[in-house]
Amino acid sequence: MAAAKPKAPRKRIRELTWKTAAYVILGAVGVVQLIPFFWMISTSFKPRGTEFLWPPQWIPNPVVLANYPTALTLLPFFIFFRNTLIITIANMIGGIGTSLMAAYGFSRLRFPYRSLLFSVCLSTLMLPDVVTLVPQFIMFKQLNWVNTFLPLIVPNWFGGSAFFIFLGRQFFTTIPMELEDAARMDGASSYRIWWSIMIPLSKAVIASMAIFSFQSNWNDFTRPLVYLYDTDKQTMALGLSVMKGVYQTDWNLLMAISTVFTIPMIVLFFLAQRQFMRGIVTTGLAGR
Amino acid sequence: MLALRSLSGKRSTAPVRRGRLLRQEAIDGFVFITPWLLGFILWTAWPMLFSLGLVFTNWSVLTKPSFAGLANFSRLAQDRLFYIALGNTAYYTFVAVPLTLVTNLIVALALNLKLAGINIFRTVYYMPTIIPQVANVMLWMWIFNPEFGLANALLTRLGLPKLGWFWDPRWSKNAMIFMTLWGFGTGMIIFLAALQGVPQELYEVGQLDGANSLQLLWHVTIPMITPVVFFNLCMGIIGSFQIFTTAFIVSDGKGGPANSTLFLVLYLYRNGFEFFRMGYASLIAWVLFAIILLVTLIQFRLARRWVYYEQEVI
Amino acid sequence: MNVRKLTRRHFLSLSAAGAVGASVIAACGATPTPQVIEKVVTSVVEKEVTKIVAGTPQVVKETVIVPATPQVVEETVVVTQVSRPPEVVWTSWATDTFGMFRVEEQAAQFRQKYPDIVVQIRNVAGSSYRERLLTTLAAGAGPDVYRLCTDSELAFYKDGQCEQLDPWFEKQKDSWFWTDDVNKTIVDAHRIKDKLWFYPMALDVQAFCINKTLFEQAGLPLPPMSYKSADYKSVWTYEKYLDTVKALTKFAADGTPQQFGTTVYPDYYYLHDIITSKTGRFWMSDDGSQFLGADPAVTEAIQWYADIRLVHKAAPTPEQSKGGAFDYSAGRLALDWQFATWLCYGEKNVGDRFDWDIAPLPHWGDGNPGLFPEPCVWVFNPHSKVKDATWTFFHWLVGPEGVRVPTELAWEIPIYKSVEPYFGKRIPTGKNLSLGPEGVSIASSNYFWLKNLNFFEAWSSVMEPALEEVLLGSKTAQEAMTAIKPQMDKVLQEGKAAMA
Repeated sequence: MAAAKPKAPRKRIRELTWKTAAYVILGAVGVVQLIPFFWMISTSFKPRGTEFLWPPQWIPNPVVLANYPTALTLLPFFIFFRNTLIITIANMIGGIGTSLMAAYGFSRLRFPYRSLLFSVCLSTLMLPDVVTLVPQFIMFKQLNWVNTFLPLIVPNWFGGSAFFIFLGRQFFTTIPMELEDAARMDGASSYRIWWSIMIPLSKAVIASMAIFSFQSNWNDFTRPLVYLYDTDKQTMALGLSVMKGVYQTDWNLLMAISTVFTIPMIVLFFLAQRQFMRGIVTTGLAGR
Repeated sequence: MLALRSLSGKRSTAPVRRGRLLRQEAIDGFVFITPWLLGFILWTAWPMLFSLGLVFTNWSVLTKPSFAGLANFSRLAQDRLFYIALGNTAYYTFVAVPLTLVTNLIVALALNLKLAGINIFRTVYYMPTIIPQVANVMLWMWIFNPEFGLANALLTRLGLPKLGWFWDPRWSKNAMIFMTLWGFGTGMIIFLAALQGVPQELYEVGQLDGANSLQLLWHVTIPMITPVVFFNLCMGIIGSFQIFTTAFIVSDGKGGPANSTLFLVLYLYRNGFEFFRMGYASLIAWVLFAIILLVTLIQFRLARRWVYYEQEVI
Repeated sequence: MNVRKLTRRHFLSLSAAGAVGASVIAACGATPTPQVIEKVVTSVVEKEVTKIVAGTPQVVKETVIVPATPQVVEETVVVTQVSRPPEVVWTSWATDTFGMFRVEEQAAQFRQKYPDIVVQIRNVAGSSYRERLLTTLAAGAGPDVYRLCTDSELAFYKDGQCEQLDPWFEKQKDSWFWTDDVNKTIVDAHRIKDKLWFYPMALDVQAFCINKTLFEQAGLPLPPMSYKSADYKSVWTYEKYLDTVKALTKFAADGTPQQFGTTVYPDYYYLHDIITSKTGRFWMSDDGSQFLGADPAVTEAIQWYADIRLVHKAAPTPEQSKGGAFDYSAGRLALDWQFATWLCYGEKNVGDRFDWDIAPLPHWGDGNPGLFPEPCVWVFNPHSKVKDATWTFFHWLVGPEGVRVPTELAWEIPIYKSVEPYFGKRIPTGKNLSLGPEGVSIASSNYFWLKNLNFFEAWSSVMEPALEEVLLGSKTAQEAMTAIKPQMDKVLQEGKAAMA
């Protein structure tokens, strides 16, 4: 790598100004982005009935620490947490894996009816879920899968979501052909190429998919609502909805659970986005 | 065959594959998409076809569907509310999608800068997306509170008149668009991932040629990420046409005030689950499907002009 | 994977797994537990009897019933089935903490009386209630007893989702149903073509939520607190209501509102009073077939209501009230259009931040207040797999024993005389408890939501958005109602035709 050239003082000042400006702007917008989170945490410590006072109280008075144990023991949230974790992780592995397979097939391999099948794949995203909810439920009821995790997990293992397939396809097309050609010259099969070349080069995409998959499964409400009955099978999203009544909503408890609920996601995101830092090298040469 | 290839010198020509290799490729292709294909046939195709069949029936969900011929179509033709919903949805999509695309890109570029602690900023910018939707909407209803909310406080400070935001039929959609814009989340992350994949040498070559940052941005970065821009554009359109949850929470499921937030999916949801007309709801869903399909196909056609693919695709 | 590697190791582990699995299944299967039961036995015995057949005495085997000498016999019976208690699934939308405690207490009380029936509470939050209910019913997996409200009772009845209740009551002649205890007017008003398909619950009636503290601060006299009080007719008119709320609305020097006298909602529960009290009828004809909203008398009443805000500025705008700053619980509202059972939420929502109570609705001049009861119903699922157990629960739930807990919480106005004294026993003392039952006694018995299948759609889809425009001031009542008349007529006629 070329050695960094010593910069002239004027250039350094200009660079510093840009950096400071960047920090200031990013910081300002960042603070605004954090307001919802502050509000959530602040409300979670408020006593009942004081959540929406005006002027807004950012520091609750009194601080009700008891909201957390109250909310967490109101319903078996640790069971909900376990269930949500099982479903989410199963879906992440199955969904991303099978989607990446299909993405590779649609982007790099030629087979008859490829365009048609890809259009069909994409079109599954275009029909609102509302109208397929009831037929799907009837179908799963016939299979006796109601009140189990199966309807929530199994479909994901069969090509997860067209969203990921499309995303994967777009990414795979940005990977240069030479890598693949070189491998084929060495006699590598498509499977080997997929596993040893495409996947390692797609770490950023896979990290993104992991984040999205985790997020959507963690927050998924409709399908657990319809398929999971027994309390010991329910998920956290369902538990959250319980707090919200028709005339009454226990906002402080709702926020307490929500806060606890989002912590794993923040942790996952923080870990996953390291993939975005380790500059992806596409040509096997110098990185960032 | 191998000798021919190494002499060709062209960068992105597909190698010549004949006979056995082509067949192998085709088989491989099918094997790779088999999980998806199987899943489609098993779990997706039948419910979709079922709902297509429902278009020609009256179904209250609680009884068996009864054949109704084209009755739903004639109802659609005279349904004032359908056209209102269509207008609302089109407005929302064609305003929100371009704006979201641009803001997400700008934010992603900003978060791609080589600054210390940038990963903290990235996490912070992602936070609004992971907050449960119900909490998020409540918060925005508070921010947009016409009397005491932050939004109107800002407007007053700038000497502008206060707005009714969610509760004014003229502003409710804009308030929702603003709320969507503020959640950088998904699009931003996808752009970030894409930016990682731009080869370093291109920047180095550009710098050697004397290009400044802005020129590099326009001539190197953006063209290289066009496949992903295309993705966000398509998915943005597909998603925005189907907007539902936010509108449902904001308007208490009614699409108000005065039908200003009545979007197509919300309208069909009401028809299916509240007015016991699942057949009619299916018709609206399939009309929506046709519209989205059409728009997406147009996008794919236009894509040939501006999306740069390393390798020939569809 | 190397085939050679499928060695004994694999085989052993597979068979071990299989063995474990098999034994688990075997253990779950019934090991017969001998049980000792007492039986009363009468014997049927074959005896040899000498009979004369065709002239010759013959020994013939004949079956003779030996007179019953009841014997108590100890018998060892092998029970091959572990019988589970019947489970009745009970669904409503009580999902917040307040609601859940209430239904759990009810279920616990039932369990005490009938220990061998298990009631499973499966509640769903209000906004997703319909979705889950319809989906599960469509697949035959619906709850055994569930709650419905005025927006869908008729539709569910029409689609065969309600068990006819009369035969079940007939079988139980000792039920409270046949006594004087029941308010027959309300129950019979729910009959469709003389048959009872669902049973009323959560009875309620309209009332104001009043902030007495604000009245005190303004030095204004409280309105009469009872429909039966001597001065109700003369004092509490709509004109007086308007004067009161104008006096209770205060703005700061820069125009920011500080408190409002009342609210104005585009809801039919409140409009009913204003329209009916003035015109003697509603925006829908009594038989549910016609839209009367465009009549000048009706539009005048609607406009008057809208003008409370538009002209007199005595009510918050939609943005002001929806945003939450002027909710009744926030303490800046003097008279809020609500329900008599709001009493059950008072302690939790307001506590002692101000003096809360409920007050009667006003009336026009010589007219009567236009109240109507708004009960929801419990439905008995005809496709239930445990009908007898469900009936036991249903019968208990809708009867005086089942409504005891909600009545004490002031969540429900009871339709049983024996339960009336318990109304509001668990809420803070000194509140206007008699207003609810009073309101029910003078309320109209024209249950318009049971007259037309499309009532709710006509209201929610057509009328309500139009009213929103009137309340915003973008259209006058006359314009708005005339504009929707063709559509309303169409929807109502369609609904009426579907009822035939």
